[in-house]
Amino acid sequence: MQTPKPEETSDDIDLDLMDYLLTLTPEQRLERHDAALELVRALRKAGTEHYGFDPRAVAAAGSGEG
Amino acid sequence: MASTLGLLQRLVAEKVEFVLVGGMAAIAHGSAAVTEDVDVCIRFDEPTMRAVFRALEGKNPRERMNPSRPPLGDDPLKFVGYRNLYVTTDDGVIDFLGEITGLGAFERVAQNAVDIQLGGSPLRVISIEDLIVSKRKLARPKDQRVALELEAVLKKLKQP
Repeated sequence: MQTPKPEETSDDIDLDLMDYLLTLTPEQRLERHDAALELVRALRKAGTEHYGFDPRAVAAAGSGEG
Repeated sequence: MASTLGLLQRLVAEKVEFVLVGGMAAIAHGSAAVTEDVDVCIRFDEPTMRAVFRALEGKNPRERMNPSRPPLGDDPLKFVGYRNLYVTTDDGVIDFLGEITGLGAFERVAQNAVDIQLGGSPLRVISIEDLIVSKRKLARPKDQRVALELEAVLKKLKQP
């Protein structure tokens, strides 16, 4: 039995997630984002410690960015 | 712990007159995007720059676009009349913008801004309609993506 796929628009916008976010107040949305960003930073730090350097720099060089 | 919300709260506490714009504003309006930048639109006048400096005090603010990342220093008047100021701090990145693409300067952005509550204080945020206009004017794919999201939010909000 499969979990139903979240409802998406033709632009791949997750409407179920959007519905959930709209149940929150703007302040709660910002707090949720702050928590997510904290996780992003922690994972980035872990990645840098694992590789011994920031792998984003390699990815950017490889794609011709920045 | 470094916190983008903490940066905003410091601006509010020091009574900086600003409007939250960019990705963080999109998140406040319901976007699921994740951004590391706090973008705010301000006037680059003397009272605002003094208040900005008070808000960033103790957070090691440095000029982000200068390769040597020099400290902002202790003279807020140096930045009066600037168009933009890109700053990195111990709590993250904050960009002060004098003008928003597709809209104009602070007065125009503030005209339709909405108040949301942040820690019991009002925080002015660019309206969702103005944010869509601005994002649509920017050519970057990530801005187009956010515009799509916000248009979906707006459509949802307008449903009876």
